Amino acid sequence: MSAMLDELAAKVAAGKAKIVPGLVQEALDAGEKPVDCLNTMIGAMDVVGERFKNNEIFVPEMLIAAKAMKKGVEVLKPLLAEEGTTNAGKVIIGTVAGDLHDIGKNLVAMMIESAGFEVIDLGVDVPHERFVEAYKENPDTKIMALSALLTTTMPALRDAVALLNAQDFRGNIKIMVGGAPITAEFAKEIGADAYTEDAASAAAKAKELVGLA
Amino acid sequence: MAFKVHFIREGITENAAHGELAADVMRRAGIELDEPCGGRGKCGKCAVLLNGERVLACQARIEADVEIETYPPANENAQILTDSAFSDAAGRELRPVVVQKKIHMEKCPLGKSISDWERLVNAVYAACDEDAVYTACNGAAAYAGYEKDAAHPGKSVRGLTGRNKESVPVNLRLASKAGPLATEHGGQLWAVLCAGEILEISGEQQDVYMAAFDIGTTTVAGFLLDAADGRVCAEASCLNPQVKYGGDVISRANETLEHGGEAMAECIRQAVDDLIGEMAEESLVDRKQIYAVSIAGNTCMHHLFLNINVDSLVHAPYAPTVSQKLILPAAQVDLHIHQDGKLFMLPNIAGFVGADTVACLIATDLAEQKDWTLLIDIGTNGEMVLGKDHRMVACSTAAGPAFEGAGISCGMRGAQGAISKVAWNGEEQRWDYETVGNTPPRGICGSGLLDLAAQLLESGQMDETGALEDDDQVVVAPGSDSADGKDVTLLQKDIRQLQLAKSAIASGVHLLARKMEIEVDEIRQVWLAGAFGSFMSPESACRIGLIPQELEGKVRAIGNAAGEGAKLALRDRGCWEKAGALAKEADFLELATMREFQDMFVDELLFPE
Repeated sequence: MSAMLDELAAKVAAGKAKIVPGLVQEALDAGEKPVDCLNTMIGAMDVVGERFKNNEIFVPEMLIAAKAMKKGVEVLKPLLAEEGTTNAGKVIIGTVAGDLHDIGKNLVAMMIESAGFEVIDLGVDVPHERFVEAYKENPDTKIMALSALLTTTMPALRDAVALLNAQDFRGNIKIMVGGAPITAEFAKEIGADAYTEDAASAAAKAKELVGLA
Repeated sequence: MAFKVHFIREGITENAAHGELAADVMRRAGIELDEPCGGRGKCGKCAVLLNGERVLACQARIEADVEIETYPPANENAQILTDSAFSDAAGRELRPVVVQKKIHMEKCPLGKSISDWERLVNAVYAACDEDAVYTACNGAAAYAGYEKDAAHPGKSVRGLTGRNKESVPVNLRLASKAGPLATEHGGQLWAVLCAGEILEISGEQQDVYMAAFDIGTTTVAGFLLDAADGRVCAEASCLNPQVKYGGDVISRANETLEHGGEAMAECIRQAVDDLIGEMAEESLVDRKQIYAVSIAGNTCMHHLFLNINVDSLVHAPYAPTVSQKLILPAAQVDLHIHQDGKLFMLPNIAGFVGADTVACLIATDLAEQKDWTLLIDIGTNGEMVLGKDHRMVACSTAAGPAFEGAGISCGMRGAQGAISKVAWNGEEQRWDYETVGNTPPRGICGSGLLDLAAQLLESGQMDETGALEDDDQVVVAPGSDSADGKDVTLLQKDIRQLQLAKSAIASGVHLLARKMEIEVDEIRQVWLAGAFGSFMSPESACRIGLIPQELEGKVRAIGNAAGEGAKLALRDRGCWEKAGALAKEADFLELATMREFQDMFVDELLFPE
């Protein structure tokens, strides 16, 4: 990897949102391919995710780093579209009905996006039916990720997953669930395909589920 | 020698001896004068303009020919109100929710059959001027009816709002007592009135008291007030015993949903009752002489105290179960005051903007401000209100407990040994600090944390993303200086916690401004309520962007405004009446459903460069 891309990776990891777009542009001007720039940043976010998993860094750093990456991706987007770069697939994500917590959900969305997925974020307090509709609007969706941040909204998560499990398209998607009170056992019990403890593992798991890892 | 005192409004001139009290001259001239405090110069009710200067008639002595204008003009009154917006009683009109009136109970004329109760009520009505009858006797019921009336304009609520004597609820205990007592005292009795009811009668004038409480998630503060003059006789505070069920409102709500609210309600009621006992003892007051208790707390504390369903508080859209203000029998919530004493619960605005915020609005007159004013109460949740001219919008943000020292490795409350002020000494490359009580440092409290972050930024030891430049920790006080021989340090992860809290508050401020369609720098004054607001350095808060930098120099700590509002609700019926309107006037902004919030939140994680 060139020194320029090393620098880009370092600044993404440090969350320098103001510097990153310029670095991307410099790298492009110096002849680096857009896809290499993107992969550099994805690699940087992987490291950030790993460090988060190991409790070396914390939520704000992840959010800040993801923001920096997003700024960099904005520079790349028009070019990537031209090149028709590999897309890992679509992921629909949302916090279930009755729950307005979004920081955890957004972290997951950012990490999954950073891993190369296209993310459709339904936001918070999402009615169960909305997840079904969202799939129908995006039939190429590969993963649906649902979050519940309160013990009191775990039943809503159960109901939402049950509704998805009853759909014809269930075989085409994988369901991931997460949130502070959720456990692997609970995920299994309600019929979800996967649970991960944190945002970084969620991104890794998503790649695994679509056969990219 | 005699002076001439001319009463402008009445058109009377009266002679006065040298040094005679203005009040005595007024009495001699037949001018009525209200002296609830008995001429002690405390209540301010006898204020007059003496040669244009506002004085208390019960204190001012006549030493020349003078002109006296009774009742200060309305605008003069307003000026006084604004000036003393946050101070105790001073300048505020005293119109307590509990009043004691001297009454004369007529004998039942032969040939008529007027019950003892009716004659008692007649006596109360005869003794009260129009305002007092309306507010003290029928008032509280009228306030409740007023709200009902506003919601259903078509419905008659005459039974509540009418000033008719039948609307005074019959108190059988007093009805039985009235006849014999009147006979014994020749019809001359004293009646204690509150919330549209007669609560007590006696042959002699009694001392009457009220108690105001601010129930916080972490601490409970109480004030005992003398209803005759509004002064605070005693103050007391304690930790909220519900802490054992969880430090934040959500965990307590969840505990209640799982195990019922009995224990949760019982422990806080007990705590309030104990504080009442403590304050009564300190002031040598019999707790049975306390006739009214007011409570301001966040919505969850409000619900848990009343033991009402909190289910709606933990599910979106987080609506309160009850938000309007309430007057209930104090006995119903196990408070041992006068047996017919009343509980005044201030109203809530929304699930996470509660009666404590309403109390702050009462204390600060925020709605009356002509310039954009921001009120922030920083606690575990940061509640804030932006407004002017009766346009207000409120929000709540989850700041977390970092400012209270929780979740910070060397964090602690602002107790003895807490590092509360910090400055970087560049020359000697070390930290200069102050601790609470000037004892060896044991940890860092919220205000110290803010100073530290500001100084780290300023001295270039930390960048705008919050990353420490050299090491992953800062030793503020070495073990050789500290209380327990261990270094007092700030870790990288502590800064991350601070960033989350800082961003929550700052994002709230920005989104409130956006909601009002103003730029942040159009905010002319920022009022910080609560203990943390009083101890932190506004400069540091602005340096790290907790309060947007544009607002530096406009920040002012206003202390326990919620407690002040709870006191005012008892001390001034107008404030109690106003509380309901204020709660309704304030719009609520739910940040979590705003798409912009997430972006704003991530942006605000960064410190200003």
